[in-house]
Amino acid sequence: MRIDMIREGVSKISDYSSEKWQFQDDMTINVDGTTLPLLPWRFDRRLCSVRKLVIDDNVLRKACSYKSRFVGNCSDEIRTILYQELDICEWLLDDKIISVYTQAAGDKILSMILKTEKGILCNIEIALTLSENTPPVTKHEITGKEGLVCDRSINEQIPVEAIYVFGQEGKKEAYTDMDGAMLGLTPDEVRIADNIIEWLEKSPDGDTLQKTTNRINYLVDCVFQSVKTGDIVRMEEK
Amino acid sequence: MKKIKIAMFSVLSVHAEPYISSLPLREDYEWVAISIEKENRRFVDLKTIPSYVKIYETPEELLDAHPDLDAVVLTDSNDMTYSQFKLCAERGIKNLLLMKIPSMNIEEYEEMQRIAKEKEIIIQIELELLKDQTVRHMKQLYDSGAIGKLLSINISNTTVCLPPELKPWVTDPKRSYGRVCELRKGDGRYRGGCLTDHPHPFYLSRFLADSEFESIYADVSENFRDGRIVEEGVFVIGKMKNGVSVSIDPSYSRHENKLPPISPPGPGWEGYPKRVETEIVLNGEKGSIFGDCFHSGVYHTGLPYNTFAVEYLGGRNHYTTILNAFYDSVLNRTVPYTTLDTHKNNIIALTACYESIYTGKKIIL
Repeated sequence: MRIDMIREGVSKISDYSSEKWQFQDDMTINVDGTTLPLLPWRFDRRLCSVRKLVIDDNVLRKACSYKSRFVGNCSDEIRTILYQELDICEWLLDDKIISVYTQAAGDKILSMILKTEKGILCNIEIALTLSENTPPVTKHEITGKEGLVCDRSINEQIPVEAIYVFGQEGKKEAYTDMDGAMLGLTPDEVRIADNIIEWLEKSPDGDTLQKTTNRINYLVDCVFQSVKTGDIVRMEEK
Repeated sequence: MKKIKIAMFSVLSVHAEPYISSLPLREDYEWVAISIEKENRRFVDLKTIPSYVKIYETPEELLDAHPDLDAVVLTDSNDMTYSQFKLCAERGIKNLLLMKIPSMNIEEYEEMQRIAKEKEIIIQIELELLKDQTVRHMKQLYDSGAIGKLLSINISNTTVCLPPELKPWVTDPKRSYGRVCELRKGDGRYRGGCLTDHPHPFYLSRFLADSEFESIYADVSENFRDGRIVEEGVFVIGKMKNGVSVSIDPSYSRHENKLPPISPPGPGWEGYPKRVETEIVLNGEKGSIFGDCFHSGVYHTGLPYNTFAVEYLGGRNHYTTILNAFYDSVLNRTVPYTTLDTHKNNIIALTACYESIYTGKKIIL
């Protein structure tokens, strides 16, 4: 993660001076002495659109099932990706996971079947098998009474990009720039910048955010407990 | 070239139409007859059946008129396969091409195995994705060491659900599953939906992992369509005996166009642009392979519904391969690529999924 580039991006498109906030670590910022954990996946443009369609526009009338796949690179930490994907699941559905059955294959692959409070059946697949510096292959799909909402198109096995360059040396390069003001940042960096700008603008309550992260960590623990016991784990109220 | 004299029983199977369109083009098959009950003739465009093919009301009448048949394709609803199989065996038919579910009743299934062995009947079961080029290429890549040791398989075999106006038996538990069997106590739904219709991810898992299921956990979602009484959304996690983890989605999660269906369903009838999607991911110690069996096709927004629709690519399709393989087995008396014996563990795996849904527990096989 290029912290300086992100700081520059935030300064470019917001009125907040870079003195007002600092990175505490990769996933936390400090604003005027308040610690605010980041949830950058909630600022992914595609996922925001998925949530808008499902929750705000109610295009599915009623969601019935949720499916996500994250095939990432082997240097990623499985706990970090699991944390992200569990939060995405609850956030996209505006719902709470109440049970999980998990099966692991080695220490880099997890398959889960989960149920939510509203009765939505979920499947989350995580595999960290790709070589380092390979962008992850992801997909999130929600199926309901009136159809489905998905952040990938039909036949899109791997994420499409906005720009492809076929240069002289036969090396194919691809870019996706989503915001003119932040040209040069990767989509991952853009969503972190967007997250920081939102926190700076809205000054969310640090304790509430901390409770959210505690809950996600609890869900992560439940997943690993299911792996250990080979059984379904039902969540306690958190 | 020796021609195989062949007949079809019924047009109710989802795959009946492809045989109706494929058989007349074959030089190695002589399609002589088909049985279609009068009440079922509305489910097929009779103009697509060549005039030289005799149409009978029942399988019995057909067999009476054609005692010299080499083979029969059983393209009826699932619940008819067992009795029609026995009828063919009694009449001395030595070669049968069966659809994907010979029976979901293991006693019936084993009786079919016994009869087939006793009467030396060649039985090929139409598990078409075993012959799919994408599947075979993925296996070849894995076998060549492209991703190291295989750790997990993820298969989505998601489709539309043919509405009762087109295939009334598909969503009727008695006719798809063979008997009325509650999905879960008090659930109000019954076995016989997407799981029974989609054994494909199960045989693909066994083929790709080169192993058998050791355990299975499955759960079911609320149905996507109102008023249906068989399961439509299911997720399955299984473990193979060699340790490979398997995750399967066999759901009817691709919606149909809500406009009145046309028979047979043409392009644009789908709501979701593709009526079938089969995506496979193989995860190994050194990487992953992504495959899409029904990959990119041709797209249009034209008639009859002006929706965005996919036209699958033509040319040599699964039915060409199935009929080629069947011809070879019939002529040379060789063991087909799928038999009742090799398919049995798929039926057992499907049954384990239903047991897991019913009990809410992981099932050890």
